Amino acid sequence: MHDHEAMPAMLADFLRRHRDDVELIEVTDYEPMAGGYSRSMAKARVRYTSNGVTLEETVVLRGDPPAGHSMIETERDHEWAVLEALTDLGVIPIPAARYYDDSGAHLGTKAIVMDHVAGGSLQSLIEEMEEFGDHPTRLARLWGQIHTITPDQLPDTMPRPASWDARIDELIATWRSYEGASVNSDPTWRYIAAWLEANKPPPLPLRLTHGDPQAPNVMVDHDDNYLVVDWEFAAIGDPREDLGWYNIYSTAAGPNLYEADPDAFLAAYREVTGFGEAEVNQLTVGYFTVLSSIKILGTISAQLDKFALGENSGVMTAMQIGSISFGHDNFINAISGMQAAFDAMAAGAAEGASS
Amino acid sequence: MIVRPTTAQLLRDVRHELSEVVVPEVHTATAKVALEQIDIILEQCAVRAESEIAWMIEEIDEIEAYAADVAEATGDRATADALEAGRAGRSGSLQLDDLAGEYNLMSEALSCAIEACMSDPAQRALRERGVEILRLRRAERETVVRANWRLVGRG
Repeated sequence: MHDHEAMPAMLADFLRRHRDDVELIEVTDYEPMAGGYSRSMAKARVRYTSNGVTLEETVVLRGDPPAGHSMIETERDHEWAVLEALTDLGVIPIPAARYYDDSGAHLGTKAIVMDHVAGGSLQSLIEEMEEFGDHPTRLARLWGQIHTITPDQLPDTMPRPASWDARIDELIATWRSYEGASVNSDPTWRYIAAWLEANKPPPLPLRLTHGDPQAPNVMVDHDDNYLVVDWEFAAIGDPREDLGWYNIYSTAAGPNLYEADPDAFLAAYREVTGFGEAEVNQLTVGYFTVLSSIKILGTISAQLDKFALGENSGVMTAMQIGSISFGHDNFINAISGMQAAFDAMAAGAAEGASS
Repeated sequence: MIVRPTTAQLLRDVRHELSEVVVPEVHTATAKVALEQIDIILEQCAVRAESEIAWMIEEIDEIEAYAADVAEATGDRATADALEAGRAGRSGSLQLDDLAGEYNLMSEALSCAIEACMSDPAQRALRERGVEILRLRRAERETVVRANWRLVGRG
């Protein structure tokens, strides 16, 4: 994927392996795409000729970046397994995943070939809007749809936490383990871990989580349908992990459709999932806004460590110092806000008990 | 040694040259995004070049005083040990790499001190003092360093 001159021929050869029903396959255009932070992305125009009939389509390729230039390390095998399972289930709208080069032998790196969505991302759509219309509740319902998928519907290869507590404890421990392994000592991360441990919310059933839910990962086709992409961080976890990550990401790169009207957003979400208000409310979303961020910030931190040690490089990776520090600022403020709310509730309860 | 123009001034001049001369000649989306990211990083480097040594020294001093108070109030062994390591590591050197090492050692003392306060409800005031160091020193200065940071090229 990284040799743009060679890719048209390589891709055509790869597609021929999967399409013996077609006489001639030509790749007439191949263009790297901006916007993929974690993976290398490209789109290609493909022409198929058979029995004198010619058809054309655009496909998207999603592969690993060159060695030593990753902002984030994730597994393509895992992503492909999730995409195959979701395609079979048919519950979540996704662009069809077509083929997978699982060794990199054909496309130069492990890469997934999928349908191109004619349209744009939800991000580019709402960036231009002053009023968001029904997009906040549609997005809440979309996240809710993902969270209706139970672990037994997912590939056996996906790790299954032993319990809700085990999942939460694992994420809290992840804050500490990344900090402990880093070239930077980070008291903010250690404080976050200690606070999260002391203030766990009520549990919810474990479900499929997207792992990186954000408006750039929702495509909107010309019929106004939402399609969810970038499943590399999919896991079995607490559904609120996704609500939390959506909230912090969209605060960093708005607009934030949750923040526009949190109560309406959460009501739409609860309607789809059947979860209760005691478990899904602004305070629990606040908790998961902090907790779940480690899944992506941790791997970013690890890549920055490699950068500091001379094992990684790249402007995209260097940019992520800003992501880490943005998290510091927001998490300290979020924890202060939640602590004040808990203190007020405790004071109210004490007053009620004494009167 | 010629110290003026300062490093920050030189970096900002490079930014200007890139945006005025190079960017208009670039037409591919991926290269434009890369240049925008480079501009952000250059500004962050300029901010750091101006202040990071002074900021680290100030914070090291403040953490040392705070961790000493926590160690005395709680008797926490981890805090006392980390503080001792932080003090032993102070060399007086202003070389960036030396100072970054000292800053890391003292940061561990801050982590231990806040953790000790978190596990002892009687130390809430001391805990809040530690959190204020995180907020007023780290987070606010990091906000300054982020400068014109944004997630360029997403979506």
